[in-house]
Amino acid sequence: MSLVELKDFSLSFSEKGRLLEAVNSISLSIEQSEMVALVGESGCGKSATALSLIGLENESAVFSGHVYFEDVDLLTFSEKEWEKIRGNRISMIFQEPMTALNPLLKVGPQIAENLSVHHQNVRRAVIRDKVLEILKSVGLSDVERIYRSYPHQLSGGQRQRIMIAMALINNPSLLIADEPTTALDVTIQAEIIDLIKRMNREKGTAVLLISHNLSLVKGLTRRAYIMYSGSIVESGHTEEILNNPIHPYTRGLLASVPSIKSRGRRLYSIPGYVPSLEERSNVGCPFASRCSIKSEKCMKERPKMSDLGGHGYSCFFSPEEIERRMNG
Amino acid sequence: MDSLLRLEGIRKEYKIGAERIKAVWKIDLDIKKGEILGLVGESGSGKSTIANIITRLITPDEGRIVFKGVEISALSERAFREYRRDIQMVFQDPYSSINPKKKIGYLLNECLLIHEKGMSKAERMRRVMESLEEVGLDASYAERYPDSLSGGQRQRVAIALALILHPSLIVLDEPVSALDVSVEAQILNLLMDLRRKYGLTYLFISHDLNVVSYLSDRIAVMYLGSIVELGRVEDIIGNMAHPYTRALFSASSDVTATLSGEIPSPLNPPPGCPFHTRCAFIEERCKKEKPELVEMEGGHYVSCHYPLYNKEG
Repeated sequence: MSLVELKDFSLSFSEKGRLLEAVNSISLSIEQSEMVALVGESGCGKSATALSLIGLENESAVFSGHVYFEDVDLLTFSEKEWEKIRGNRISMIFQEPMTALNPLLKVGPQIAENLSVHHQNVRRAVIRDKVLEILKSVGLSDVERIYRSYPHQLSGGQRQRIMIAMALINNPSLLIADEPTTALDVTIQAEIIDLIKRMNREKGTAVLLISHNLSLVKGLTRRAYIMYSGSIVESGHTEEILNNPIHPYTRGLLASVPSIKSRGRRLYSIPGYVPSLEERSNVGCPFASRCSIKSEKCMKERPKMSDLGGHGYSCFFSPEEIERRMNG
Repeated sequence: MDSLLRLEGIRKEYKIGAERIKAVWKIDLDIKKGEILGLVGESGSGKSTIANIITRLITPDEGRIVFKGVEISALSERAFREYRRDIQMVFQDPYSSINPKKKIGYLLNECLLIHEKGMSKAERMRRVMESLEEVGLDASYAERYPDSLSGGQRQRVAIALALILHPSLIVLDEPVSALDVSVEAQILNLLMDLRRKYGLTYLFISHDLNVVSYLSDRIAVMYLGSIVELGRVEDIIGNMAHPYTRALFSASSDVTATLSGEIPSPLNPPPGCPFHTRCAFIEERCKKEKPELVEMEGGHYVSCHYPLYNKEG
C-alpha cells in the first residue's frame, strides 16, 4: 500500500460562473519514507495539488478523482476529520517562514500549541521539554533563548528550522515542503536540505518536495513528477529524468538553465509563456502551444502517459522520434 | 580596458535607533567599459547598497564615485542630472518597480519628457516604439497597463524603461530572480543581445551563481560589506582563493552544506576577518586583523590572510 496515491485527481476553481481547471487528471504516488518531487513553474498546479493534500485548498475549489492517504480518500473528509490528520499525520512547510509563523506569539508556545492540540492531556512542563528537545533536534543551539523569542528576532534560516520543528513535532508520516529554501541564502539552503534528509532518515517521514529548483530536486529526492499547465508530463527516477529527459518540456526546461558550461552561447529558451488559467485550452496536449515539434494531432488530442521501464512521459512521439525532431 | 565607473573607498552605515549597521566598509571597485561585472553575495552582504550608491539613490558616508572621469559623487543633484540618464537600473520585482496605474507607453514617454527636453512628440513616439521593439514587445503594448502583463513581460518593460535613454551603464539588481526558469532564459538572452548591439556595460547583481557565472566577464564576491574576492570568471571558478567563495560555489552546485552557522549580523560584525566565524581554515591572526584585498596575479584579487590558492600552489 502506498502512503499517498492520487488517482485521476482534478481540481478546478469556479470563478464568475466559469470553471477554471488548475489540475487536470493527474496520478501520483508516494511510498512510506520516500522523498518525491513535484516540479514545475509558477501556475503549473503543483502548489494547488499540495494544498489539497492537507485540506487547505480554496473554498471555491471543485475536486474530482481520488486522493488516498493510507487507503482513505481525503476528498471525502469533513473539516473535523481534517483536523485529526492535518499537522499530525500530514504536515507542511512553506516558502516564507516569516508569513507562516504567527508574529505575535513567542516561538516556544507557538510550537507547543501544535503539540497540545493533538495531545490534550499532557502536562505543561512535559510539553515544554518536548518543544526544547525538538528545537535541538532541528539543529538549533541556545534553545532556551529561542523558545522565548518572537519570530522577527530570528534569522530566516532559524525560522525555517522552527517551521520544520513545528511540522515534525507530531511525527507525521508525510511532510509536504513547498519551496522550503527559495527565500534562503545558498549556504543556509544547503543546511536546511541536510536537515530534511536527516529527519527522513531518522524518523522515516516521507517528503513531497514542491519546487522549481532542479538542483534542489536532484539533491533531495529519489523520484520526481514534472508538471506543466495542470498535467504531469513526465515521471520517474529523479536522476534518470535529469540525465535523460524525454518530454519536450522537460528537455527545454533543463536546456534553459544557465551555467558556466553554457558561457558564450545563447541559452535555449522555450518560446512563449505559461498560459494563465483563463487562457488554457483543455483540448490537445497542454504543451502544444509552446512545443517546437508539435504535429496536428497534438493540437486535437491529449496524449496519455506512456511507460518506458518506470520512466513515464506524455507525448505522442517516441523518445527517439522526439530526439530526432528536436535536434534535427 | 578603460574604467567606466570607479568606486573609491566607499563606506556606508545605516542608523537604526542607537544602532549602526555597517552595510559597506571601504570598498574599491572598478567597472570597465563594455564588461559585465557580476556581484554576488548572500543577503546582508551589501550588494544592493552598492547598486543604490552607484545610481545615487543613497549617498555614501565616505568615498568617491568616478564615472567617465568625472567625480559624480561631488556633483549637486542638478549637475548630476546629466549623468542620471547614463546610469540606469533594473530591479528584481517588476510588480513593484513599475507604476501600475499608467500605460506602458505613458511611462516610456515620461522618461523622454524629463530627460530629452527638446524632443518633438513624433520623435518621442518613435523612440517609445523602438524601445518596445528592442525588448521583444510589439507596439500594442504601449496601450496596455502593467497588470495585464506576465512577470517576464513586465521585466521586458523594465528593461525598455532603462534602455530608452540610451545609457552606457545598467545596474541590474537580481533581474531574473522573480522569474520562472523558461522566462529567465528569454530575459538573459535579451540582455546579452542588447549588450552586444549597444556596447552596454552591466553591473549584474545576483545571488544565483549559475546565472552570474554564465553571463559575467568578471565576478566580485561580497561578504558582510566587504569584497572578499574579485577576478575574471575563469580565475574565480578555476582557482577560488577565498574559503567563502569556495563554500558559496559548492553549496550552489550540489546543495551540500559547506558552512556552519549563519552570517553574523551587520549590526555587530566580528573583529578581524569578517568571515572568520564560519571559516574552516581559521588561524589566530584572522580573529584580530582584517585582511586587505590584494592582487594575487593578473587581476585576481583576494582578501584572505591564508588564501587557498597558496595552499595548493
